[in-house]
Amino acid sequence: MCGLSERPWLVVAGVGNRFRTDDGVGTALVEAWQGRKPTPGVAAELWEELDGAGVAQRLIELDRPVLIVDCAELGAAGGHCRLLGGEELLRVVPRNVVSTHGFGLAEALPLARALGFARPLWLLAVQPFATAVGGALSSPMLRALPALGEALADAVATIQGELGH
Amino acid sequence: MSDSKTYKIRLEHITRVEGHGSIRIDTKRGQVEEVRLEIIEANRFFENFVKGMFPHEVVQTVSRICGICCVGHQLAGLKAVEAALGLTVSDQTVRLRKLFNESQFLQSHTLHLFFLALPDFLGVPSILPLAQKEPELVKRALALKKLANDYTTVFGGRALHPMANTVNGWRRLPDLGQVEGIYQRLKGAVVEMERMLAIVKTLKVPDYERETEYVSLTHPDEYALYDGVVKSSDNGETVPVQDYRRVTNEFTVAHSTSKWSRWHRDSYMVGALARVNNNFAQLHPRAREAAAELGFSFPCCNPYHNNSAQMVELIHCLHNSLAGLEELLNRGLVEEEARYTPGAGRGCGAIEVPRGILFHEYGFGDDGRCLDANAIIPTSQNINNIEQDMKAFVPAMLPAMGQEELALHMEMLLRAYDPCISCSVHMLDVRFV
Repeated sequence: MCGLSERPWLVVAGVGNRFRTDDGVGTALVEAWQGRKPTPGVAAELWEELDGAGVAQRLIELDRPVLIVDCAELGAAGGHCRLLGGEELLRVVPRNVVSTHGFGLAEALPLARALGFARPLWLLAVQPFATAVGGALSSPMLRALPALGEALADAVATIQGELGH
Repeated sequence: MSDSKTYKIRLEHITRVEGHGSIRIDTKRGQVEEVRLEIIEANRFFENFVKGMFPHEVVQTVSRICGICCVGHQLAGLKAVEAALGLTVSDQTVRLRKLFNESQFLQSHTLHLFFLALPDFLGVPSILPLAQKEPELVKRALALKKLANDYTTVFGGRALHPMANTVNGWRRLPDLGQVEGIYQRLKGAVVEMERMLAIVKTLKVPDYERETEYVSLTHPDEYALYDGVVKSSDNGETVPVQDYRRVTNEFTVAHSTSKWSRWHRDSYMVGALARVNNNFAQLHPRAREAAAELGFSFPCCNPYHNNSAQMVELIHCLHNSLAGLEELLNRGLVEEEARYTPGAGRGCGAIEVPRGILFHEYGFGDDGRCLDANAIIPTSQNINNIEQDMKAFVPAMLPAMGQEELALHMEMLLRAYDPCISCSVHMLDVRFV
């Protein structure tokens, strides 16, 4: 993690609801990552309270490369993760938004882009086992957490290489 | 009238409103056969969730009824349980709650006016193309919304479902350094708000009027957002909050999972336009000037102008907050104990939330636990009036409008009310005999 006076070359942001089982895997991973040996120049944030508009606003404010960690439907086995970036991330298509209650990450990213957020952006997407209301991470996700933590560290290293830091 | 005016308009799941509703319009050879606003949300059952809870648990739970009006539901719940327990909160607590409530108005009106309503007026389907067309405008709106969220956070500990406010006081008082920060940022927002007003002044509001009954809180000393009695524009009648059932007179219709309301006539309207109509003279002077600049005089019977009334209230809440925060900073804060003893009682509370007047009522047993609850939210009071507006609008405009234009105006009309349909579907009191 970087000091307060230093502009980070990457911000890692955890998204999700920790009271909705594996939906909270993004925040759990970033929280755990914050406790590890810091990577110089990398800042971490938890975006638990931000709605879609808030995420767009935060991206614009940061004006830094960002890696978002979130639970996502990948059509894969539970606990599987994928790093999406560039063109691949642009294919995260906004849904038919029927209300602001449904204004999420898929809408926030194109909104931020439309408003001038031009920095590189990645999404570490994790396939959930369950997203039921009212509980902590599922048991299989808890077991997968160490491996996912390694995947997050690998993702940061990959991005570091891509950005030349 | 032309035979070609045979339309079957089906607007399923109207977008850019909170929750799910559909509009159904059938016309045949220029004659209106049916106009219906169908509410298709499932019931929420919050009034059952809170049974068995203690008062401080009730108020945190009912805050979850709405992610937009969480502050308002908490405040209405607090007022109701404090009335039930015979508690009178301190002057400091009232002052803080009023500011807390205004922070929610700033957030909610900004969201509705600039994110949900504005795309219609600027001819784009949603906020995403609006951001491409008018990026500076959307950036300003985002910044204002963030400022309002931060304002709520300073008072409530967090922007959504705040925890600092509790029965008979505050668990944690706001930090005065953070209050000073918000005060300075709100001062900076005065210029931004004037820019937003300049944009709203350019919007072409549909020319349509239907007189209805306007219902809001009213208070002799202030523009009533936190306290007061219930006022009708029809005869100036005022009703104490505890008699709210005389006002709401809820009933059911087959095509709505939300209950409907009526008072002196078939339907009534609550919300920004109702408040501004009923209490115009008590608005901040700059807000009254803005109303004149927006080109409408009061009382105003054009429901599309609810958007304009929200702009007027944004200016009012901004200036009123500045005055209130300045006073708070000069006065300072005193630690007060927020304790209470659970016990039996029944009480009602009402507050103005962005979409209109909100009523909560709770009964508690000898063991201090909640026996029953009732929450009547603004949108369930407005749904009937929206449908009456549609029923008047469609035959009046059918000769001049084609199908697409008519459909757009119906969507805009529904959106103008800023409905929170999800919250409107509170539990039906079904009794089996």
